[in-house]
Amino acid sequence: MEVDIDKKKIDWFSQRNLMIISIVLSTIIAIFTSLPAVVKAIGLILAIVCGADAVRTIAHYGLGTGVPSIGMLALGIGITAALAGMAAPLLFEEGAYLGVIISIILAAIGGCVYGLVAVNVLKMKIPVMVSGMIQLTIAGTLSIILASSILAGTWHLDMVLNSVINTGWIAVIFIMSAIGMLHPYNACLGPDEKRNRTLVLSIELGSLLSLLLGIELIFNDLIDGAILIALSGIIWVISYVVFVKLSMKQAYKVVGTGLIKTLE
Amino acid sequence: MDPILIFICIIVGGILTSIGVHLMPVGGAPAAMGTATGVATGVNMLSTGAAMTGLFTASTVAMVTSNIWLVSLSGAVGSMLMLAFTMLSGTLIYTQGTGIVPVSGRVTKDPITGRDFLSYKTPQTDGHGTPDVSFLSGEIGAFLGGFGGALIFYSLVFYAGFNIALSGIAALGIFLANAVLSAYNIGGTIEGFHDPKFKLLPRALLACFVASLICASFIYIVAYALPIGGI
Amino acid sequence: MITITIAIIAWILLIAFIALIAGTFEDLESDVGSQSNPNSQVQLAAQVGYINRFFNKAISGEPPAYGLYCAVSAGIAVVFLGQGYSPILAIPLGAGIAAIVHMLLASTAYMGRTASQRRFEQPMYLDVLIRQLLPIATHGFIAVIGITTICYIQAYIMPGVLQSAFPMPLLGLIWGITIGSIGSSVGDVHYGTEREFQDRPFGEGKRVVYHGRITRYSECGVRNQNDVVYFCAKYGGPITGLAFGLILLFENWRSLLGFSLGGSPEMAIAISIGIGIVIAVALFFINYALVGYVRKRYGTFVGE
Repeated sequence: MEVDIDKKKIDWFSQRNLMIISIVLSTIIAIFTSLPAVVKAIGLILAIVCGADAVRTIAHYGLGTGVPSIGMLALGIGITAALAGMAAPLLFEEGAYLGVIISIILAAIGGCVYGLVAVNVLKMKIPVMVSGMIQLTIAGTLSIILASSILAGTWHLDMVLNSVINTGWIAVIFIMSAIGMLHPYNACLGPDEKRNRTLVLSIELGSLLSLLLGIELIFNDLIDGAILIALSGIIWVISYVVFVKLSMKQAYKVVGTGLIKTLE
Repeated sequence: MDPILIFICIIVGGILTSIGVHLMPVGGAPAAMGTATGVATGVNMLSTGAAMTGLFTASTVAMVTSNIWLVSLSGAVGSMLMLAFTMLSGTLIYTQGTGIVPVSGRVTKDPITGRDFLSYKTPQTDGHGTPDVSFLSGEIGAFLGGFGGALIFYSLVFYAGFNIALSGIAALGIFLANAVLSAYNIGGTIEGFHDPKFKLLPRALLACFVASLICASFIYIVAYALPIGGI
Repeated sequence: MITITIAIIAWILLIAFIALIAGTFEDLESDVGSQSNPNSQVQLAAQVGYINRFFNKAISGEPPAYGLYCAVSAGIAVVFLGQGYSPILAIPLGAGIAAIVHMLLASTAYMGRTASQRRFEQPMYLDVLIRQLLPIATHGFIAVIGITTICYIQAYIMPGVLQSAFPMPLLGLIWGITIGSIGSSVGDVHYGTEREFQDRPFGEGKRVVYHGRITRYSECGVRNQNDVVYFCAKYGGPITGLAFGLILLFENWRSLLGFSLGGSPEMAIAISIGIGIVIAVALFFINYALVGYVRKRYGTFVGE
């Protein structure tokens, strides 16, 4: 992950490229349900990074109700779109992998309509609203699909119903993905917000979600769960340390203690 | 499964949610400093919190009866009680903790009780606290919001055939999507039905109609697929 | 039948009592870390030149944040309950992990927000960061363990018709969002209107010109968030707890009363809906009377 931060200075990690890379990679990972949980966790982290980047672009213009609302909106649409995609394998015998594609298409339609409604009907003056909402809802859908897939082994709705929804873990996935997307920009809000710091924080939150999923998984699948906990723990430690270092470097001054300047 | 009823219930639920959000007296961050009238929090999360209390009651009621009015009204009343207690506690803090008289900033006289606001208002503020008209408006708003949320929940359980847990999380998602869109329409703060911003309601209704239509079609796909999977 | 009713009453009272404690600590935790709406002033303070030693804990609004902690706590607790652990072990384990998540989010929020205020020359105080983290975690722990216990009682123990059909983590999300929205709309007013602007005139809404010009000195030197929680624990916190406790108490009480009075389930639910409407109307008149008393007692605005 440390390598990524250096590379982000190059155009490779501009918002558009990052979006394409993360969505394509997470989609491919989501399609192959037999992959180990660790790989799915990488896809999950990528999806959350993508969502956090979209939140950053939209919320930059000011929403009027604070940053958190946009993340909750994304997951609100994301969960219905994800459920619709998860149901696809029940419809077709062949080509069950289409579920992920269907989810993404539905999420894109949903995001597009919400963006158009916000701009044209509600008269919000945010030029990137439509593209940002599409990116955000796709990220939300992918994160729900991948996280469910980690716990249930697959994202087919009949399996997910038993091991994710009826146990209630869908609530953890829902709110943690939302926080993973909205917290990075919200926590770094300010005139000197830097993109690399915000994105590192989203990596940290994505790996934290994987870590929590690992605690659930380890009781069902010891090896997969243990590897997931270990690897997401490593990613988490690295990204947290990088975030702390970046913050301290970018802060005006880091002091152990001290009094404040006087008023004048 | 009944596709027409699913669509009707989710769309009506979404529109009721939108009206409910517009009736909530919410001041956002300035209200926490006594600079704006209303409850001191974001409108989307306050309405969601109220509707969640209603949803909890509605879910226990839905185990006992399948009458649509009883389930929806239980949710509505639960939501109304939550907001009423919250606003009353807010008034307790404003009046006893910070010595402020609740007044509205948008009108000079209470439209319902006729109490004078102008001479009690702090200059350079937009009102403070939850006056009588906002309290009533909030109770009605929470009632409608809770009714909408419970109606969505009811249609998911009884018309779409989801189990309780799936219905709960899906209803939460649909409610949030509608509440956030309505919150964007009012820009975060509103005092109630006497507020000039309330006139913006029609465009939020249109937005929530479209948004609920999208959500309802997603839900319809799931509901259509579920019996095939044999669950 | 009578034993079941008595058991339900006992559990309802227990839930209401736990809710009171959880609500109190939820509000106090948001004061330790300056979360939610009053935090907009801490954020603004550096911009208007008021360098401060407040803990800028902008995790998100309280409702999503508490939804997160309570859902995580209940989720972990469910995992351990499923493995056959006793609830007396599983619930604190869940709340403990939620407290760790809470600390992580709080630390990143402080560091991130302070680093983004570079041009206003707001330094990052490490002692502020470290000294607040533990109080944040402990206050949050008590609030979250309270909610998790309520969820456990409602999902597994509550006898009869009042048992919830939702799984525990979903209940955690629901009550977390609810307690967060109550905490941010009730208790934060005491912090934001009174303690954050204590050198301004008492008894008036804080004018727009004061925004960002927060009080930075306290009884014993430079103020930090621990002074705030000491102040708010006397009024703001308990009122928040009272609000949440009353909501849970009356929600359950009206259902129970309906089921004791009504014959068929439909009749019982209709009665409980009627009782709920009566309570809501009564609350409107209580508010009316309270505002009327205050208007008479305080009089019109006399400042400039």
